[in-house]
Amino acid sequence: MARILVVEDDDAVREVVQMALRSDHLDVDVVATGRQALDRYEVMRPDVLVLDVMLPEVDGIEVCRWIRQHDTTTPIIMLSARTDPIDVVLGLESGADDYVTKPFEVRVLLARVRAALRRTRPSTSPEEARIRVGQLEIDTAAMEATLAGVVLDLTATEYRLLLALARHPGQVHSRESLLREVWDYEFLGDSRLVDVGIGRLRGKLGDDPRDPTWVKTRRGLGYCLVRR
Amino acid sequence: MTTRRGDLRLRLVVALAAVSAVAVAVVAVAAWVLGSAALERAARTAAATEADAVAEAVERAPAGEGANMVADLARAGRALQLVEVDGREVSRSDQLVALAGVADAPDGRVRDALVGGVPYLATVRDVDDIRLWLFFPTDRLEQSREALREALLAASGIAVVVAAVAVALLTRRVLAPVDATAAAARLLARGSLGARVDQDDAAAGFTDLTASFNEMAEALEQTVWRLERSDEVQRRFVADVSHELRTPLTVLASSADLLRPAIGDLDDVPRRAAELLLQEVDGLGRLVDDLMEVARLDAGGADLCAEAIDLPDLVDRLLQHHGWRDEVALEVVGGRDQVLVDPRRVMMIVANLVRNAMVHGAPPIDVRVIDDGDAVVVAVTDHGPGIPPEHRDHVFDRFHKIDPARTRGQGSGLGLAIARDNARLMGGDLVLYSPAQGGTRMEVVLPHVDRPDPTEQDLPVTPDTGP
Repeated sequence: MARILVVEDDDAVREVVQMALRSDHLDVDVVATGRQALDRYEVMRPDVLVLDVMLPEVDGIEVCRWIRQHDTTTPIIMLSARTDPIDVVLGLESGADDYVTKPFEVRVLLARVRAALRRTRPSTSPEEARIRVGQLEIDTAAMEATLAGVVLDLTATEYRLLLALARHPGQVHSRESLLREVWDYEFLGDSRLVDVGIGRLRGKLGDDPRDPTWVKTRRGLGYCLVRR
Repeated sequence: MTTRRGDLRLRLVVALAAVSAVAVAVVAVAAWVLGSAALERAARTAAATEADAVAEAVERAPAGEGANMVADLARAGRALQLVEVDGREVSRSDQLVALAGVADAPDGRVRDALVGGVPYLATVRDVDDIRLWLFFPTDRLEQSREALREALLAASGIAVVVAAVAVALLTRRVLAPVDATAAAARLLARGSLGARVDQDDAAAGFTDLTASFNEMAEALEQTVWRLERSDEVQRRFVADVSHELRTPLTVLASSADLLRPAIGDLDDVPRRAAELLLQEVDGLGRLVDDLMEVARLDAGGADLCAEAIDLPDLVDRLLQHHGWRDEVALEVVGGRDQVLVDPRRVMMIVANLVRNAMVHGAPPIDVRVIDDGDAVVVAVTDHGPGIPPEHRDHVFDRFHKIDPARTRGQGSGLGLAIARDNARLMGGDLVLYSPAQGGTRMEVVLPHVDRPDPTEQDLPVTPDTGP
């Protein structure tokens, strides 16, 4: 059973989220503050972290940053009552994979949690066990990417994003299609997820965003991995 | 406005220049008349003086030599002479051929005379028995008058030019406050509410104009500021209220989600109560979502994520997602070029239009994606009773209700206002058509933008194959 840690300071929200996730057969643990979140995280090692942005003492963005220093793979979904573009981007840049804005219905959150869990599982298509683009190599069975022999420290989402691009090097992928393929958004996904994800991926590939050599931006069209 | 002001300046300059020209002309003519007369008087006096000198020389000459003396003198000078001794002519200048109007009174006066058609100044002197006529040429006088005329003409010309320049400069100076006021008014019209006229420019009787202009501008700025502030306060309030509602609404909506599957197990009364609860929670959620969206659009904080997309494909997936595929027909007309839009916003608009058609209209409902080369239009048509004419201008107003008795419909009353704002944000528009035969057609018009980055067209776009 997948283990989910929910960090939410509002009692009622915490309770209803817990009930909903449990009724969907997930192993759920809940805490109310940022400090508790860090403690419980160490013990529990959840498969997905659901993290409210506004928390007393240590806020969600700080928690996210701290966890990302040690653990790059666990998907983090932010719960935000803020929809200011800056707040969303800040949350994503701190290392979150996805976000859900309040007010939400639990089935929306549930869908995001399920999508995050799917991203952490290896690709099921056996015909492409290894993908090579120049010095970049992706082992789909091990869910591992190496650049010139060095393992890249990617989150599950960044890995999926890289895989989606590397399957068709030289092809432009629209944000919309990446939202579907990587995040499982049928539509109405937020394209900033892709933009921030690409930014972080570039950072790990050692790409200068102003003159990237790996992931190119095609203005108004999307992104593509350079063919080698 | 510029032309009219230019006209005024031109007219002022022309009028003032004309007045100066007339004044200069009057002065010049007077100078000419007076100067010319003075020159003539001087010439006559000179002629008389010279004639007296000749007469005196003749008188002092030895007896009998007088007449010869005159001839010598006359030869030396420039005058012509005719000498008579005791009424007999003794000598005459060669030029004195035809004499006219020569007086014979030895009164010392100088008269005008024509010699061979040429004007001379003539005078007569008697010395003892000798009578001598002296004719002084007037060419010098004519030269002087000519010089005077030229000098006056030149001076007048210069005076007119100087006057015109002075008038132009003066006009500009006088009109400076008007210009400054006009410039400030233009700035004000463009939205620079701080625009004022510098009071130092307000020379010569324009202080009233500039001062009242500044007063008006000040009042306008204050009013706009007050309006903006109250607007801002109101917007802030809407944003804050919606924000505060989000946490309780999350609990409400999520609890409703959990309640839904169990509703069938309840008795009639609690079941109906639960149904009503769920229905209202949904409505409330939509209202708050819409209020937040309105607050964002009003604050100008809406960011656009434009991307080239296959619109028919996106609309198709939207209809599938909402389970509308059976009730709504999708038709694609024209090309299927990709369009540069924010897919999220387009989907919000289309979903709103289809939902409206299903709730307020009547089947059949169809969605047509029409690409006419200039724009891509998504037309949502229903075959219901249509929108009454008196409401057609207001359907995009916030909280506008077509049936006032139905104060709470399924929607928030903000949907169409938001949809239109979103369409306009993308450079397009949302337009209502009410065909005569009934029904309603809403058209989302999205400008066709050429595929960006034409230099990189060789890169194939991933086909949108769906999830």
